[in-house]
Amino acid sequence: MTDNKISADGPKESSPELTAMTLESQRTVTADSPATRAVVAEPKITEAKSQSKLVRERFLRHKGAMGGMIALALILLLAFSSIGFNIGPLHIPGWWKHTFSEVQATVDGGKPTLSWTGLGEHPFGQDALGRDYFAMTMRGAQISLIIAFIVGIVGTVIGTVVGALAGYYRGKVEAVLMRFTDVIITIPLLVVAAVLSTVVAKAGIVVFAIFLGMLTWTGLARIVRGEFLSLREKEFVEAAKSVGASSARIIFKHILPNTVGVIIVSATLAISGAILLETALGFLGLGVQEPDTSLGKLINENRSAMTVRPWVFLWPGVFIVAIALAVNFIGDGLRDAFDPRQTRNKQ
Amino acid sequence: MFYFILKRAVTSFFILLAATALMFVLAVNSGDPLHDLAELRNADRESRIAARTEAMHLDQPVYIRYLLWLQEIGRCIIPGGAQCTLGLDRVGNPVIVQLQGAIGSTFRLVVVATVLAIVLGVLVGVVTALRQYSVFDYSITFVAFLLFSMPLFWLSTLLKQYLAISLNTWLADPAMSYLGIVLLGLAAGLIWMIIIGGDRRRRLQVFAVAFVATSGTMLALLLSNWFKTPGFGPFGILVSAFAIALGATALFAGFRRRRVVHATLATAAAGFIGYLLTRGIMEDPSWLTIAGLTVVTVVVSAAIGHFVGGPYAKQARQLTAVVGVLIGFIVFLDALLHAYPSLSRKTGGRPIPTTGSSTPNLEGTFWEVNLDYALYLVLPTIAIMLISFAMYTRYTRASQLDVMTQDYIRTARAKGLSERTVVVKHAFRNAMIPITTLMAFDFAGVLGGAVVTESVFGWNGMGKMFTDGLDYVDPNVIMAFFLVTGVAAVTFNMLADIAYAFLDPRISLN
Repeated sequence: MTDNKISADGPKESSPELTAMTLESQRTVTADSPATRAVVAEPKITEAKSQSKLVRERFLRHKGAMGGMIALALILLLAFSSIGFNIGPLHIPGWWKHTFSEVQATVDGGKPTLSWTGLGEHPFGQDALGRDYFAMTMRGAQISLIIAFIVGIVGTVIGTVVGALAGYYRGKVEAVLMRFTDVIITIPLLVVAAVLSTVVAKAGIVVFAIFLGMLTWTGLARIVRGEFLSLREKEFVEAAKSVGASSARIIFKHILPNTVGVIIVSATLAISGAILLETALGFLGLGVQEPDTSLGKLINENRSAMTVRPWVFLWPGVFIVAIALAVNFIGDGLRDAFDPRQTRNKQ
Repeated sequence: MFYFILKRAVTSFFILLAATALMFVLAVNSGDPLHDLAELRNADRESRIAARTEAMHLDQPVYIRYLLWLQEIGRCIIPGGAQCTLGLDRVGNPVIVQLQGAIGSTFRLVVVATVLAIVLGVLVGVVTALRQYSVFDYSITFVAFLLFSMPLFWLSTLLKQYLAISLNTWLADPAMSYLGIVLLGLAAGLIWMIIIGGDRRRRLQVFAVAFVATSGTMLALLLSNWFKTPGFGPFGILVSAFAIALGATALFAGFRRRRVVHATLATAAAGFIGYLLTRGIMEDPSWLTIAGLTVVTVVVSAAIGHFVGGPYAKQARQLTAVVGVLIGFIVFLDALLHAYPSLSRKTGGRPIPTTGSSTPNLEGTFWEVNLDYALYLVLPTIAIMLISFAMYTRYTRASQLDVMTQDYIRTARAKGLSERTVVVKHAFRNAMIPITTLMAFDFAGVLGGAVVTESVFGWNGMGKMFTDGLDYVDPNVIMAFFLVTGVAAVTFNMLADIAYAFLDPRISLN
């Protein structure tokens, strides 16, 4: 077994449960990984790579994912630095000259001044009231991004916990949790979110986002449960049990690290899904309420002006697509990095 | 098997019951059903509030109202009882009337879009998997990601504002310069070249054939004024019947088994004769006639397969039945397109409508009415289809790639089977198993997403009913919508589970 040799040469990890750790790393370093081949080919021992390092390298090599990372970073930077943002009562000013609420005289029918030569006075144009549409779009992007991240995090945490408990304990716990998941899945997400948001959205975007997160965990819960069902039968879990590890320790220290790939991928997809859900709700006039705004709400407000002022419809949409696209590419890169089975066998 | 289905059905029922309870509580608490009356300054304000409170049982606690609603549902399930209303809405009309009006248009939309998305998505997904890391694969991957990241309402509005308007203007006066025709041919040539691939010589051949075929067809269509009077005509049907027969044989059976080839060709000939014979009936049929003709088509073509197929009767039967149905579909499409000029005169010459679900008060033949439905379906269907399509291609590609690396595929190749048999028979069938689950999920999702589509395209379907119900805080209306989507979701999930267990023998049913 070359696996054992690799893990022995690998990064020195001093764990109290060495047996379990070694067995665990058998799963992670497979026989035909680049590291193994390197050892066989050269007599000089090359540096063995840990699983996380392999994942990181594969991710960094993935062009789509890197493009997505850069795009998302740029969008975040643009959205938050341009008009500034609030931390509690403190306002951090941005570099853009207009604010999103300041009403001005409409210049040239509010047409966008963005061109190859420069930004101009109102790069994304002005809305019907004469407000600067660039500042408004940036504000919408900020809030949509905040909501998306909160939804992604809340949904991931709940989905992981529910799936882990159901998969590990089985029996009644599983029956109750999975039937509950089935009930939530049955209700179309948009429908329940619409009903909820008429009540919750008035309490502000953070509460609204948390509630949305409490509805979007079902898919992940099913996946994590599946992973747990197969992992709990593995030898390393048995080994951990035999040395007297508690259930909590087995779940969080032994099984969960092995499912982290699935969870991270699912979390990114949940974020792009949340962007689309929030904008769809905003479009129906159901999501974020005044005085807050979001990309979907901006489009909804300007729906009737679509033929006269196409840019007020276009720009928020471009940002929605750009954010969702960037996040989806990152998710795809992560999937390939954690599970390279499909990318390796190039024919 | 029976025990498994029964157990699954009972669980589904209780899941649905719990979901309706949850939904009912949410619907009741989604706002104040009296807010429009509370703002009134009239003298009869109090009496109207009292009347609505009485009608909607607002003075009762939530669980009593839920039980009252369940009672109404019970009346619909148990036959011979009182009238089935699904409850009354806030003005006292039975909700079922509203639902009956809405359900047809929504299902038309969702079913057509889903079927098209599945067919196209699976097809493109398999091709991208077979051409992994080709230019075609990369372009489809990018397009799929783009569509995946696109909000449905945004895409719908773009299609409505840009595609529909320019297409309508073009169809009003269909003309194209020679340069345009050449460019179209070049684009088609490039696309086919990328899809089919191969070495340089083969690429050039494909490019040339596709270029000539596309620009030639376009020229012929323009010269014969096809866009004003579309249809296939008897000659077109004859050609497509034999093309379908040959294509289906090439894909599913190969040309080695002569008897199977003869069977499909005989079906094509029979299909064409059938088309000539039924022209009288097809003047102005009803859906019942169409259904009857479909059954006859299936029976006759399967019989041809059975008797001509010889030793391969089973394979021939399946294949000829498929060929027969496809030819029937072409004939149907031809008749539908023939109604275009007369419909165009009646509706005023903008072929692709952007709002509504059908022309109001349209009177015409079966074909005119259904072509009208079809034209109204074009835009919303494209919008929904594109987004579902993105998902199906990605999942089919992943699934097909997964299967293609399995040991049994290597075995199949090793024992000398043709690549077509390996891909279609051994790999594709198994790659489809996970897709069944996806279909169930997607269908329920699209049904819920109809809320957005209907809002953009001004359809008067279930989505509109739901948003109105939400505006008026009318639980019975919201629940009627949920009843349909919820039952659909639960049923499709159950069917997917059963299909999965049926298709994958590794899953034990007990």
